[in-house]
Parts: sequence; structure tokens; C-alpha cells
Amino acid sequence: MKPARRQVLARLPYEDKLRRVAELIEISTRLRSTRVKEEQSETTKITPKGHES
Amino acid sequence: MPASSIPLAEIFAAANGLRAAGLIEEYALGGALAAIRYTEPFTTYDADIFFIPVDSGLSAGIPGIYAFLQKLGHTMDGAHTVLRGFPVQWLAAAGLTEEAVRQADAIELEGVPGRIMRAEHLVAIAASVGRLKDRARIEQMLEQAELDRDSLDAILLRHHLKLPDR
Repeated sequence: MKPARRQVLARLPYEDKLRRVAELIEISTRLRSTRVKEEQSETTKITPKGHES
Repeated sequence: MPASSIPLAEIFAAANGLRAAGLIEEYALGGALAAIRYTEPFTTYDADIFFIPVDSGLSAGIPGIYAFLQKLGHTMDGAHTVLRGFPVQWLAAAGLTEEAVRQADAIELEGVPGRIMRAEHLVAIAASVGRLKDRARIEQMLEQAELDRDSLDAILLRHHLKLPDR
């Protein structure tokens, strides 16, 4: 992100920033959950037949 | 935690309640959630409430504080209390952090009065802790926050601190 845009964000009212932080947490949580599901799916694929956990 | 809702006003209400009940002397929000008042928003997963204990014993009155918060509906998760899915860490203030609590700004959030550390104290506290993420916070604050450099220099001098080389 360009420094000028970051300065604009830094000048937002605190309540607006808190809303954005909540959105960032939700995105981050969703990404983490997707990554875990993908990793579990990969593990299942490479586990020899009969040894699925 | 639903989007658009970090329950900071409720956290302030709880801290105001602790103060009114005489369980703490004073409090202020510190840490990343306080830094965001002065910088662009970034991801953080908890709120740090620094408090000046009334009880000068080793426990700093923590058991009474947690019992009070549990009555308000906070749950416990390790060293954190959790309010509507958002963790809150309650930290006894001393030295620099006590000064930061005493000199914190009064704000209002959703009609609830609260207290938040000044930018200069947040920078000094980050300098005193000195982890990689604290150095990054200092850099971000120096770039984005409207700092009172005289005040920052005075705090650093008073607490024998210096900013990391840039």
C-alpha cells in the first residue's frame, strides 16, 4: 500500500479503525480455516490406504 | 467474533466498574489496540488493559478482578478474560506503564467513557520491551502518528530509554 494511502487510513476516526480491525480479524480467521482444511485434505491424499486418520 | 464489533466500549465499561468497585485505582488501554488510534488499522487479537492495583500484594488483586469480570459475563482463557469472543489481558502497571496510565487520554466510545494511553507513552513502552514487533510498532508510530517529540524525548530520558536505530 502506498504511504499516502496509509496516512489517510491513519487519520480515520478510531471507531472506523476498530471496525476495520474486526474485518481484518475475520478475513485472517477465514484464511486460516481454509488453509487448515486444505492441509487436512492434502494429508488425507498422501496417507496410504487403510491408514487415514 | 462478528465483523464490526470489537467490544471495546464494553471492556471500558467493565474497567470503569472495577474502578467504581474499588478493585483498581485507574486503568488505560495500551498495546496494539491503543496504537491503532494513532496509526493505520492492523490486525490484533486482544486488548491490553493496564491497571494501577489497589492491592499492593503480589497478586495485584487479580483474583478479585477476575471474579468481578466473570459476574459481568467475561469467561476465562488462560491469562485472558474473554468478552464476546475477544480476549482481554489485564496487566498490573508499574513504573513507565503506571505513568502511562496516569497520563492517559480520556475518550468516549459508543457513549462509554474510557482511557487510552498517549502515543508518546506507547512508543516508550515499545522501546522498553524491544521485541521485533515492538520495533516495527515504533517505526510505524514514527511514520504515521502525530507525536509530540519533546514529550517523547522527556519520557525516554526519565525512564533511561532510547529508540532503536532506524
